[in-house]
Amino acid sequence: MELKEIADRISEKFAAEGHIIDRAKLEEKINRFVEEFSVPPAEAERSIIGDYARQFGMEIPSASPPRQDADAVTLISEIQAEQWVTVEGQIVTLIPSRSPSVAQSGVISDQSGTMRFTVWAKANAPVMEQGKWYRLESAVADEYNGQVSLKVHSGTTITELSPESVPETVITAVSEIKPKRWIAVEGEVTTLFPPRSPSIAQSGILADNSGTIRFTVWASANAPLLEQGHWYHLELVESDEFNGQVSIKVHAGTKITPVSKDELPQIEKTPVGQLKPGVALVHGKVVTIEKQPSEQILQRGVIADDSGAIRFIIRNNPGAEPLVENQWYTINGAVVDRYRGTLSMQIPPGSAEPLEEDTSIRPNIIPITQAGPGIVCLRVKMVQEYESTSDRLLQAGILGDESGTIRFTIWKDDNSVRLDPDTVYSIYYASVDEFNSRLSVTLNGATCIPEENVTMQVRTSNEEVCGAFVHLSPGSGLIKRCPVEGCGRVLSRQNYCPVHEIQPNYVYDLRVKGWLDTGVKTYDTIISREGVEELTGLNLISAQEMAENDPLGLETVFYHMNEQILGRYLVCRGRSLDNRFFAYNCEYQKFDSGLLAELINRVEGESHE
Amino acid sequence: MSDNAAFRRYEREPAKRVFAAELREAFHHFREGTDEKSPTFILLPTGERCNRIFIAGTLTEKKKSEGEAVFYQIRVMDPTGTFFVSAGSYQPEALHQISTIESPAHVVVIGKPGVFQSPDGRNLVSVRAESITAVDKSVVDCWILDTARLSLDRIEKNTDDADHQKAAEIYQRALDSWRPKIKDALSSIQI
Repeated sequence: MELKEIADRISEKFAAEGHIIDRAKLEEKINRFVEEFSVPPAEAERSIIGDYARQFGMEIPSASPPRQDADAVTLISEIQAEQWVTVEGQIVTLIPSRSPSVAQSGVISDQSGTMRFTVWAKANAPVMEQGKWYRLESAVADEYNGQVSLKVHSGTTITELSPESVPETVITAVSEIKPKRWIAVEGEVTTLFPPRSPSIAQSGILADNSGTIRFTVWASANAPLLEQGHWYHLELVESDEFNGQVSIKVHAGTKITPVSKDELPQIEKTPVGQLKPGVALVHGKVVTIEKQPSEQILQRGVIADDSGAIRFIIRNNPGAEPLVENQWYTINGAVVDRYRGTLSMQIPPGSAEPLEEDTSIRPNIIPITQAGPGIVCLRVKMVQEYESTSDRLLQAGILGDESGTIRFTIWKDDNSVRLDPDTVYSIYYASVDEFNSRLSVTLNGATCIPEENVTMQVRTSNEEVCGAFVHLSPGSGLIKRCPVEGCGRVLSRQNYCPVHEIQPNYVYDLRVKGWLDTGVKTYDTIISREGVEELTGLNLISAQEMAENDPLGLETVFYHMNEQILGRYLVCRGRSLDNRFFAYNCEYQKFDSGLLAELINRVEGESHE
Repeated sequence: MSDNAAFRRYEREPAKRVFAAELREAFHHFREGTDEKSPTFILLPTGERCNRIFIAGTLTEKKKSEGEAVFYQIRVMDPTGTFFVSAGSYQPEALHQISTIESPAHVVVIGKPGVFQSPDGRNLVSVRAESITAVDKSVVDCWILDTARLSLDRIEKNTDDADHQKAAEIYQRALDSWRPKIKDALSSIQI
């Protein structure tokens, strides 16, 4: 409907000046701007008016300011200074008034956010109660020291919301907690930290199926003591952010209810390969037990299913029992944590239940380039051995497969064995760590099975550069090369080779030269024929036909490539040398919705790293 | 057309990714070195110098200058605001490309940003296009991801960095205050 109104406004505006606009065309144009290109309607209107004004040779009229609906409720997160607003929210805190001119002050919250408010004594407003919901009509937002707050004055109407119009309490998943909200959460206290300050009663980590978060209980909250390993329902906790870490605070107004075992939320079973920090139900087989437990640790090892593997830890707590190798277990209430980029799983006492099952697992063997911190299975060839630099080190070097290479280390212990050069191994349950942003795989504890009479082509020094192709240089397209054996230099227009002079029997080739730009570094890039074919769909023959059938000749191939490649995001694989990059394999970068989700989390500062 | 030789002597500047909302706030510009040919930079509020930028969005308006010399001014909108882009006879490639694109269209632009004073004393940042290409919406979405990632990298970067400190001094704005804009950009993507 709004689009119709815009069309009305525009045609009226020009009709008043004596110009009639084709209505169908106008509507189509608005539609294109707004629907197809998601241009905000106001900007579309401005742009279209400008177009027509230029067409009719008129002065460009200024756009009318947007109107605001006075009755509409504004979300707290959208309130800006110098605005009259109507909000509906819950009084989450009341702060004792320090001045006779202030009747009440505190914090009001809705689903979108929270804000400080002040009720002037002169407003003669009804007294609001903590925990209740109110509608504040015509309050004023103003700004002091960069903080926006709400002021209730005599022109503001305050009404308590009827119970049915109060939004229901929604439990926020731990992984979705955003800072500066007042929310309800439900989770298990997985860790308690020693007290650090008299103003803090307790602090620790709360986890649910979605993730983990730090919590603090203020001493002033007079809350009951929370116990490790128990589940709680916490209503009206405040979420906060410090150094990019989100945490929650329990205040005097927070309602704490213990959740008994049978009320526990049903947790779905998570495949090992998809675990993330939080509390999880896992079904897996103990594939490795490590040898050296310490005093605090009863057992360490690796648990796996078909989807992947994870390191587990059983602490030496009362009631803790070790697991048996090669046995399947259901672990209800495993606490998954991330440390230095690697996930590990704590098994609290009583959570592991042995199963009658004895299926063997088909380990999920992955290419080296897909390996990340954690436990992995690989099929690799030992390609290089380093000289040992430490007494504790048995062997170090490089492993490779068809996708790439990775460093490996084997520490000296009773069971460790050296790998033989140029031999292909299946490696089960090795642990990959990240150090100085380079990955390295440790083979202690892993099973390495050599394979005989197999060959493997290792992709060496393979690099991948993702960037925008920002400039196509001359010398790209269909080119002629010197036919002299071992030369292959690119010939000039006159078929001139800088070494072998005129070469009329040149050979054709396809290539792209230009700049591939990551935003941080820019590479002087040459893409070989294979890569060009992948990107443009051209091959030597079709490119020659194109050149022969066009008066521009070879240049037409250049322009054709320019149109297809320039400004696009490419993923190129090849070798780099300083800022030069030789790519033999290229594709257009696809939109990565996983990255979008990751960035949304990151922008809200939710990472627990 | 021996731009190869020319480029080899100077290290080519990477094309920085920046959202319209941030570029609009930039006003500090400087020249590195004293040579006439040394590059000029503008300093972004998040502490990145840029001599060249790579931007994307919707071309919403195209204006051709009336005078003798051909000169285009276009507006390109990203989810956070508007870029003002121009191309004249010194940018033949961009000029040719602009002439074939009609608004609205999804475009990517590679160009050099400059700070200008408007008659009423305000600073205006405009981009001299080196090239402009009509692309699919998916390329613009990739650019939003890329720009969000690199903007976050700048915000979260170690503050010992000299450009970072200079930006903090000049712009007096908390780096985290850019997060909402980046979030706006990300949430504009419809999958």
